[in-house]
Amino acid sequence: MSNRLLAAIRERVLLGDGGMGTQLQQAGLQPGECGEAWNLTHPERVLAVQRRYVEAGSDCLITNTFGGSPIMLARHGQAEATAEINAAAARIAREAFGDRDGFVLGDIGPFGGLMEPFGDVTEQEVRDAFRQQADALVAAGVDAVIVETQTALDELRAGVEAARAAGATCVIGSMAYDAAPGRDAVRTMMGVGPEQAAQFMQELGVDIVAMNCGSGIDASRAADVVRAYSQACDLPTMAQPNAGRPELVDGQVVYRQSADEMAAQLPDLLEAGVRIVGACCGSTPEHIAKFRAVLDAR
Amino acid sequence: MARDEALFAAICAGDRPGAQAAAQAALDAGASVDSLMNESLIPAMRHVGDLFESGEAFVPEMLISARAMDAVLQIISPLLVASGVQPRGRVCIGTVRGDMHDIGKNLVAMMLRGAGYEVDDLGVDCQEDKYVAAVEAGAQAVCVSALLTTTMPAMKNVVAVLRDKGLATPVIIGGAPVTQKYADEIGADGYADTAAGAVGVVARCLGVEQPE
Repeated sequence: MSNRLLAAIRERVLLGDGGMGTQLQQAGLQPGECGEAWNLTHPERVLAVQRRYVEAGSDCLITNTFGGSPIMLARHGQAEATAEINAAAARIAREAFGDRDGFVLGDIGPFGGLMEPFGDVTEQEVRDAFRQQADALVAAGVDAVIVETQTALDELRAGVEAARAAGATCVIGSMAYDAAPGRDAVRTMMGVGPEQAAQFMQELGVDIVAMNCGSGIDASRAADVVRAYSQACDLPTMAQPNAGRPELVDGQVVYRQSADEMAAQLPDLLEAGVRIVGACCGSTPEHIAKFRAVLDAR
Repeated sequence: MARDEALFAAICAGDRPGAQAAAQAALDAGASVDSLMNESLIPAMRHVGDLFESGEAFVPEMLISARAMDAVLQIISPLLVASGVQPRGRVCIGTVRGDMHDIGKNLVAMMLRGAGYEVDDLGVDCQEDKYVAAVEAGAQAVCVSALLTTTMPAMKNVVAVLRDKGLATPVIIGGAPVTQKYADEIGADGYADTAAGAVGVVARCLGVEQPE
């Protein structure tokens, strides 16, 4: 089935958005509070963040539903509101584009634990949870579903298959890698490397293979991941690295990598062939505006 | 006594039935629980921890080895108690207030158990007084975990509340955003950047010897 996002990335490189959680904290979200519930209780604040990303030049917005699976929402007593929270998030992102043409990516984040045999949540429970979330996102008209910040292939598969079963015509699989000091190879927490992930996703029928977040992975290391993906599979790629590593200085969260520093590494990512580029933790509308300038100058 | 090779290999491979069978066979052949613990179980978990540190093993490998170790501990724990063997130390561990993440915290707890410590797992989203209660119940060290930059500041409160109560119990912190610099800043006694590394830091803080 044709999909407008997939059609668009054949023509041009699209710009994603930046961090959401840190922006919501600046808008008053308290530590430990449920950011996804704000889609219902403070929609204007979520909208304001996403509008700033649109103004900065984002072509794609990721819904505020990272922790929007019923398993994650249950930690805040919000599991019953899964459908409403996810539907509201998709509406808010669409509204943020206003009259502009843009793409809404429905976000499915990790369920926050480990599946059997390593943890005590069954694969079926995870599948059911992701399916509920995907159903709400797809019904609300997202252009794609992104299953992101994944570290284990079985959980990734559960999310991708849930998105497909819900009727998503574009599914993005995004892994979070860690780089250890002094070592070239990157792996997820569960030991998955980029080549393995790319081959797995191609066999699974994912449309776009992506990376986001992780530890010690800047835009330059992200370019290495994208190159590894491109050697291992034929799928288009997407990257959303962090703005460096977060540090707490005198009680304030500080990100080491400025918008200028991060944008300086963007050409490397573009040369690696990435088709959608955004940023993850610690990035702001300022980072995205700098990315826009780099993209427009090409 | 020497290392029981079958038990050591089964723990390293995460072979739960194999580990239980090897432990039982060793006990039947007259091995002491003390030697099984110190010469096979602890070195095996240490070996798995070393592989993790060097990037040759990952979280799944550590978890299945820890499960195999737990299965053996089920057999030998009553025997350890009966024979009067004391744990290496008593430690409590919990994820800070507002933070629901437990994968890293659980790994540290497993590695500490695998190193012969008695571990009081306080769970996630722990109010400061929970750590205080655990210390009052006998914990000799407090391990505090946080995954989020937004919940990291609660670690400072744990140290402050313990000191306010006049408790000098060492506090060891860890978690993805945590650094040695932050540990120094909040007056924590130790920091570890991996689960395996936490065992050595706890041993140093408690002044106990690490088994080889």
